Amino acid sequence: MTDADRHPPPPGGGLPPQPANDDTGQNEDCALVVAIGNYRELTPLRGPGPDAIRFCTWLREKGGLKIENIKLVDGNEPGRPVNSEIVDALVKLRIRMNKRRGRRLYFYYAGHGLGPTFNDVAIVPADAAQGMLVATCYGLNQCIDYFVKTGFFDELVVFMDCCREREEVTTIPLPFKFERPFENARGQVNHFTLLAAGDGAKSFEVRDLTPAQERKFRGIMTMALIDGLNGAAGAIDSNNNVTSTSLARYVATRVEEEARINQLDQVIDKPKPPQQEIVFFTIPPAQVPRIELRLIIGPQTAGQEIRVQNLSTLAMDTREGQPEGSVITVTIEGNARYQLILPGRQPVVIDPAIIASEPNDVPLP
Amino acid sequence: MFRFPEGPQPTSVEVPQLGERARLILEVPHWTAAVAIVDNDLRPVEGVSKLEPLVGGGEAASATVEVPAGAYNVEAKLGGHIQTMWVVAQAGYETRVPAAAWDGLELATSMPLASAIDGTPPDDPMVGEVRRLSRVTRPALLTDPGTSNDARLFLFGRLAGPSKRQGPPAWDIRLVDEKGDEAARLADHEPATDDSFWSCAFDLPKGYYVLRAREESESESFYRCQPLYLCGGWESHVFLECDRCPRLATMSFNMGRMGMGFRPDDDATVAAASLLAALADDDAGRSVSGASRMEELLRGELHNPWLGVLAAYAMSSSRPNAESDDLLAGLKRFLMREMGDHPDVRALTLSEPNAFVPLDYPPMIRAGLHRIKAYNAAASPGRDPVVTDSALAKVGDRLIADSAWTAWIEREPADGKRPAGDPESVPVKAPIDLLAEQLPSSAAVYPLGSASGAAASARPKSFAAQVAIIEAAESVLNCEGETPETVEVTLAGPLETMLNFDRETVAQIAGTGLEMVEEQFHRVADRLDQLEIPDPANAQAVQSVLAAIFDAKRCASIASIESGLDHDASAAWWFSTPVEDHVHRLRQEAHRMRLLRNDKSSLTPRESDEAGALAERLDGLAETLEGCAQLVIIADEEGHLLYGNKLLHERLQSRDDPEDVLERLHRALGGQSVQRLRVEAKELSPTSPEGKRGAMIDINRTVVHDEQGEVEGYIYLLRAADRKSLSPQESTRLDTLLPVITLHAATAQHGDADAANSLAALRDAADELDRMLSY
Repeated sequence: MTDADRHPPPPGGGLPPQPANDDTGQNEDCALVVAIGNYRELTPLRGPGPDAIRFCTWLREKGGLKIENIKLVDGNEPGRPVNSEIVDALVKLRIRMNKRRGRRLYFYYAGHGLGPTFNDVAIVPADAAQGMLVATCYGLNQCIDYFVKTGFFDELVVFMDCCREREEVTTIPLPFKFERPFENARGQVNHFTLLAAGDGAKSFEVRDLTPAQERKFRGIMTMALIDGLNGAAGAIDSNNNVTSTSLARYVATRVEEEARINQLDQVIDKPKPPQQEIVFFTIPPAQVPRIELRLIIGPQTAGQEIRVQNLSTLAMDTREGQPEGSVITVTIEGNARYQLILPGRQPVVIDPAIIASEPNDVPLP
Repeated sequence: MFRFPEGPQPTSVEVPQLGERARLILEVPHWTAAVAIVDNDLRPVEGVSKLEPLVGGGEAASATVEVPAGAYNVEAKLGGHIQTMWVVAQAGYETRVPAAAWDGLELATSMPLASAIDGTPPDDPMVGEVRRLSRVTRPALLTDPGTSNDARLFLFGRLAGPSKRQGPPAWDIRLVDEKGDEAARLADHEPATDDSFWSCAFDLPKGYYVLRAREESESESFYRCQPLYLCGGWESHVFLECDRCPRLATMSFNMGRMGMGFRPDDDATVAAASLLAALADDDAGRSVSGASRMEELLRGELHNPWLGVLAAYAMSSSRPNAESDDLLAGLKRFLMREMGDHPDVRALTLSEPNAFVPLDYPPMIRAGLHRIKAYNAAASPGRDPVVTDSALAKVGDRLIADSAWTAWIEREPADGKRPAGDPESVPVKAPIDLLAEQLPSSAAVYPLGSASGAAASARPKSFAAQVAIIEAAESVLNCEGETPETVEVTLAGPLETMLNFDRETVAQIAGTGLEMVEEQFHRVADRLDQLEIPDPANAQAVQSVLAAIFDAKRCASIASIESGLDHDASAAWWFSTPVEDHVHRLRQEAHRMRLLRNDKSSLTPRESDEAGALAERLDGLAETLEGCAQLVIIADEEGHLLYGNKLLHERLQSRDDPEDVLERLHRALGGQSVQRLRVEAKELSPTSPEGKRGAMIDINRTVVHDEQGEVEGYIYLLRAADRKSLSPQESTRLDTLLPVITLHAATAQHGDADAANSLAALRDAADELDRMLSY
């Protein structure tokens, strides 16, 4: 894929919805970012390192996290990182203190994954050996369970860019046992998980890069995730927020579209909405991306009125009939879904998330 | 890329009575499909009707729902395939999604079904042939005629590709009984008349069997095993796809009364095929509760108990409601009456008052295994319903989850006598290796070589006794202030040492489940007589609990310190990483900088030089920091060196002459009679960095003795005298600083932006580390 950057985020910066890290430390957001590509025996991956850094960059520049609150676990040599390095990073986040640490914990993982059950992910460490995966991989559900029960953070946001091919391995929990909620924990933990692949499915890295693009190696899901978090068209709701819902919808649509373009079969797992909407980022109204659609009039639509309606505001853009071959340019906002209404036909939904290049020519019937 | 949709699309007609509401009619190609709708905000839409067969529509069906006007994402699922599409619901309009809009959504099964979407039977010669064969064939008797052969098994394989040329005789596919004895070598059976399929039939005693087939791929071959349970008075039909070999993952299964044969046009057969595919997913319940025909079949006179089994699994997996609870209860009663001995029925009815326990055979459907596991987890200790050493107990490690079936892989050749379901044993490593992976990096668990004289130790110690000394070394290393002169360990006996730890404390503090700890303690106790080193066979049994004990001890220290502290910052140094791990991290980052320096395509010459300089600098800092770390050596009571810590292990491994270094260490330490000693580094290792720069080494010795005061060994801590000993605050800062160094270095390597900023930030962090390590 050579057009990875064709879906530009809005110009300039946006605003995190609220201070991620206040002076008292009460609102501290933290992140555990795990990138495993240097597998000793399994197929090495080139995407996790660059992808993890892109996510770290977003955390620092847009997510509002202090650099010391971002724990990156990666490795440059075969067989690293291993499970103990993940645990070590959690210990450095002071998980052993049995106290609420802050508002939100981001957990990002890029690497090999397996699907031990329909709704779980096994995180495969770099020293894993083929055929000896039993009791080797951390199970995502068990990890989430621990964080939810303890209330280490008020919110848990999980992004997993890995495969979930079926293999009934026995996963292991984090080596911390739940005894009671952590001191100062604030009730029910709001958690949100986005998985790159559905049950039993694969996730992919982009292909066919030229040598000069090697540093741009990336997973399809992370590419969509970072664009979405940065406020790409289609990832913003009508209040100009990148929320858990809008992000999930954008990533799902974008991954499917990119996979289709690359002739891959990747569909992200259907995300379950969090108990409370999570706002990741807010775009100033002036910076909401806009996209131009070039509707090319066909023989059946020649001379017919064409209407494009914003499904959020219900604002209607009506165009007079045009001769066959002429072009009507319609601008749509990146924070709404639209319907294209042609006389005598069922309206068609236009989702900005799948409009990945400009000019976007749409031949009409 | 947005494209105007092509092919069959939804159509709308105005229905004024709807007012501001809209109606969606969702047609799907088959009545066994499942549909779901979410709104513009991904909220599930409630009130979708059950799928009703379309009049004159063959197998197609439709569901209806009224919704507010808006955009909706519609999902249809059939035979394991899922498709979604956006549909606009207009106020006052009825919008119909035609079945043809779902391109490629079809019921995929290895069963030769006589149904099709448009009602016309497909042109499949196997349909008629299977019908004929299953009614005409006189099954072979494979057992003593005196044995009661009250069950019947048909196998049908559809041949494709190489299988047509090589044929079944080339395959290794067998039916083995519960003892592992061959009940039927299926591939030897006479092939059918048509070369597009293969079939065989047998009359057998009812009971548990395993279908075992050798499967090949481009890179490997293995035996795949699939449990089968044949019920008395019933026929069982197995269908497979075969290419170069039979593919058990494609298996379809069906049951019917004895003598009925396979009925490819029976709705219950079709429903069973669809449910089997749905069971590989998480919400199979929708396939039952959302289809009226399915419910009709299940509420009527059920002549296909296998459909009942699958439906019961599907309904058990979904959220209970009064309607489905009633249906499920009725199904369970039917199944218990008709085939109560079947392992799937037993798994399904485990929680019922009249459940058939104990369990001895694995269920054919994997969801049954999950039910048993969940039941076990909830049951009180000692009420495990699984028979020890049964076929069910032996299934576990080798499960493969590529279908709804319970299936496992065996990699070694079959010997024909192997117990069915016995998984391949897992090779074990030496205990120390495992401990090294599990324990804190600072633990001295690396055995030292022969030159250290370990083999000549006069009084061999049990594994547990040696662990106690290793543990003592950990406490000495982590103690605050002066190194103690002596330390007492409890060596009253392996049993006491190993098993007197409080399990709950170990479990709670180490973060390991109590049940797991109990189990590990139990296993250790069972093997206590064989716990002498070296016995790698014990590794699996002891390593978990030993690691937990270590962790517990370490964490107990942390907990006790923590409880007396007022704020986090001063406590944090107790969580600090061993210095040698920081050293390793710094070397990794230096390596990363070297890789970056050589990546001419992404850096300017100046950045490349900067990366090279940082590589040298980080290596230098690593060496300085390494000098701050302590080497730990454990010797026995006669001074023979037994164990070293990771730092020593790594430094020895990097040397050409580790035996020589060990010999020098053995001589120097063995002759030490005082608690503290300062020696020239070159006496210990002339070519080490310390030796080369003429540094002195401080050696601190702690005597290990037992409760009676008898010397059991020595613990030595070695550190360069010209290197700084880090304060707790500095250790804490290191824990923060090293991750920041990693982040900057990784950003320089992988980041999309200019590397210059990251390199500058990395340089600043290196400056800070430099200042900290300056003596």
